[in-house]
Amino acid sequence: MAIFIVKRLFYMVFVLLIVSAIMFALFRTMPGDPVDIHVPPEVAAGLLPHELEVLRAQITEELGLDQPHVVQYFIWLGNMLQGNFGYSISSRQPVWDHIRSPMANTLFINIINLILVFSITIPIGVYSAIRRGKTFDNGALLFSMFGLSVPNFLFALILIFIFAITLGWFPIFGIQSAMPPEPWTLAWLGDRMRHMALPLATMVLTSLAGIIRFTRSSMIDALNMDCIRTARAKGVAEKTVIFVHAFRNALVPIITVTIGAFLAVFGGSVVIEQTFGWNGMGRVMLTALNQRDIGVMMTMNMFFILMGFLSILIMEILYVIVDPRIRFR
Amino acid sequence: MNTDNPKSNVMHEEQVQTPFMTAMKMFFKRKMTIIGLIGFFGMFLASVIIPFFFPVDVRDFDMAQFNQPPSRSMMRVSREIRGDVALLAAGAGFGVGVGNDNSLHTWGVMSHHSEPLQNPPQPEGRIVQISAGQGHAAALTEDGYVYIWGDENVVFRLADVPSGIQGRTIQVQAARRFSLALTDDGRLHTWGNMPDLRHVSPGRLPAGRVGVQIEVNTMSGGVLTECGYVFILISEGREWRDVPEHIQGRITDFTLTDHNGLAILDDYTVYIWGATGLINEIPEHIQGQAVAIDSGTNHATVLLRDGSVVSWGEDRHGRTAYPTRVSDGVMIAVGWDHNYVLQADGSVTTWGMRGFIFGTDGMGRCIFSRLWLAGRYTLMIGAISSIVAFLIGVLLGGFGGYFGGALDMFIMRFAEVVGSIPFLPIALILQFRFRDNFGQIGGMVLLMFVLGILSWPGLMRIVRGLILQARESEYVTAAKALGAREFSIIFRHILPNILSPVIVWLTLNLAGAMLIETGLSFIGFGVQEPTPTWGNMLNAANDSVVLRAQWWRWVFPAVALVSVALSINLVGDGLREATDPKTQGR
Repeated sequence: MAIFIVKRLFYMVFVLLIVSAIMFALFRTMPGDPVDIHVPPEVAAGLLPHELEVLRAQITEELGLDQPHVVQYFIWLGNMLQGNFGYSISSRQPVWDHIRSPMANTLFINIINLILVFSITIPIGVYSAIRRGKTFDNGALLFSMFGLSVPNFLFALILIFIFAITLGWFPIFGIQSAMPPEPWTLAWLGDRMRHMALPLATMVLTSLAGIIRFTRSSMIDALNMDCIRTARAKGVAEKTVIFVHAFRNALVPIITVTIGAFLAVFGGSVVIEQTFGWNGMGRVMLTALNQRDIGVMMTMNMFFILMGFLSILIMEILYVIVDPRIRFR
Repeated sequence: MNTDNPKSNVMHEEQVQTPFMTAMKMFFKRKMTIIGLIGFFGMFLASVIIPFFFPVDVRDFDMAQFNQPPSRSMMRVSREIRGDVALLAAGAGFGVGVGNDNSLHTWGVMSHHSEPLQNPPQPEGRIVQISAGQGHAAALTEDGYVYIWGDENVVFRLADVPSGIQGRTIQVQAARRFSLALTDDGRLHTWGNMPDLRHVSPGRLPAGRVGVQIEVNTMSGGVLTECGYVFILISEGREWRDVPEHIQGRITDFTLTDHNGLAILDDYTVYIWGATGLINEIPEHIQGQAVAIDSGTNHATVLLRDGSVVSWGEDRHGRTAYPTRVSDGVMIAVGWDHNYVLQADGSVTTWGMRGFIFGTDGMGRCIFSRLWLAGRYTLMIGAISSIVAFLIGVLLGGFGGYFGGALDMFIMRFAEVVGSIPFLPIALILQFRFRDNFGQIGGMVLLMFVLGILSWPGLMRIVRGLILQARESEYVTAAKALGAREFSIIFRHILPNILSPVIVWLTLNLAGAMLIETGLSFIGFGVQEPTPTWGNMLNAANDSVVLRAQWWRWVFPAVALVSVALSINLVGDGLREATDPKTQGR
């Protein structure tokens, strides 16, 4: 197993190198001179042409832009590995400081979302697999079909329309009030919760459909296995058959989705965060794109890709743990 | 696998159906699938066909008609005064009429708040003139008092009528977001939204001139004096500002479109100045016959001496489709896009725009026609990106599954890389990086490819798995023995046998790609305005004012989007159930 993990890690490093090189090239060829971004217009306006030239040359050298592209790439890679993620142009602070609090916001809302989603979907999926073809199952299928067809921002709009505009129960925008109460008090918590309600509800509603269907179909597959027939023939209690024998077999695909969902925890939902003004990773990403904040963009993308690979690795290890028939290759 | 039916045994009747027929039967047995099929083809055909009948120029906009709620009643004269009309005026999307009993009536869509329409003021004195602008209308009584009503809003406050004009007004005109009045001392007064008034210079007319008539277009206006002179109120250079000298003093009636001025001279001929366009093609037979003229944004209507009417100019919303049977017209009123002629018996004949069945958006564009064009684009993007993903997935999956070994390993790893990249961020970056390099259409093509290139790994795995199973089959061995080339074995022999899961995947991916496109356009990274897609039409709803007050701007695209996505998903689900051997006969 250790050999497998080491092999996978080596492979991951190799792929990350390639992907990061592609990303680096993509960003380097973006329209707009990076030097211009480092010279604020108010500074540029106050300088004579030749002074500006000197300043620009100085910045070019500081940023290493006078080096060949390959060298630039390795300088950047070295910086990334040392935890020096660069500098956010828009907020004029290190990238890590720039994305720290959005990341906390995103993690906070997404983890609550995941807990809610899995505690709702798995029972529904399992139950509708057991009651296959009955009213409950058909209802769940129809609902999930509908859920798959409604994009998340439309859920968001409908929720805003009902609960924020018509009923006025929840605020539409932001993560807290303009004048937030004293931190870590009950009032503060209430304020945060009220702001979180609609984005969270949107996320939960959007995630339900896919996972219900997935749980249902993998549970149906598991219930059709020969071992289930054997267990029933032996007179094992139906509850045991379902929850011990079948559910364990259904777990393998469910783990795939769970890991996929955990990956998304860090990414945040660009659309939902944008719609609700939730200051999370997705929104930071969009803002960084619009402001051409390349340092932030590069860091976030490498982070996302790293998370992607890690989740694949974890998934493969977990597979073996839940299903001893699967062997490491 | 496909032929392995666990329920069949020797005692059962032999299966006479081909697997394809069984799948078809299964498919059409499900009610929801049929609903989905009908829904999808209905929306698909509507998106393909309707834009031919309601052509849209995507760059076109009409600020005079912005945020109009759905309505077809813009020319429906109030029932109380039908056949009994004394005075008429037409505004942007609504009309005003005075009955012979001196009662004021309004119809059509004055604004998205409907209350002011239902309650026009009922002045004491006899109404001698009425005028309709955008969002508000004005009436003048014989004793010189001005009554104004309409949509009360922040930029144009109705109560701001200058106090000095009451009792002294001889002519009043409601314009786009301001009003004008002429008083008996020869002064012109204006009030309303300040930025709109920058094109209007009020003040005293040149000495000795007495104004008798005001006419406006969407920007400014002009005043006709007693002795046949026209003064244009705009100070900036516009083509229609300079009235030709040789017609000054001979003008009996005039009107202003957005780009031209038109006047009737004392010999009943129509004279036009300003920009060139369709409106310059004045019909020859009206020269020497015209007695009254009025105009909309880019068309003109004249009343002839024999009481008939003629319209010409830019033909939008049928506004130049004038009725030929009218022969006793006494008064014409032309709004932005619609025309009224009052006949001697007090009845009214109308032509032009009746309203927008689905309303208009913030730039006055018809939502109905844009909706179907948007459907075209959204469906096309979904379809082409699915095809791109299909080609990549089938090709790589086919080769990987068939040849195995290092190639398979490489393809699998590659798919893993693509699959592990978070979808939306990469799509955003690719869109952001390359969209400036392409134009409108290029950006859309780019979006299709970005979506396709990022969504093939799922299909690749399906194809690879199926080909791994199929390559050991006897028919493949037979094909090999016959000396078929490997490429043709994979794609001509194996592929047709494993097509059904691929088709299911394609169907479901079509819906998925459409929703992703919509999401991207919603946050402004997909298809850019003015090319409509359901996503960027919904983008307007990302605003609580639109969400609350202008429901038509988001409900229609939302319903269209959800119904198509739901239909496709239902069909895909039905296909999966029908072709999945595990579910057959259960």
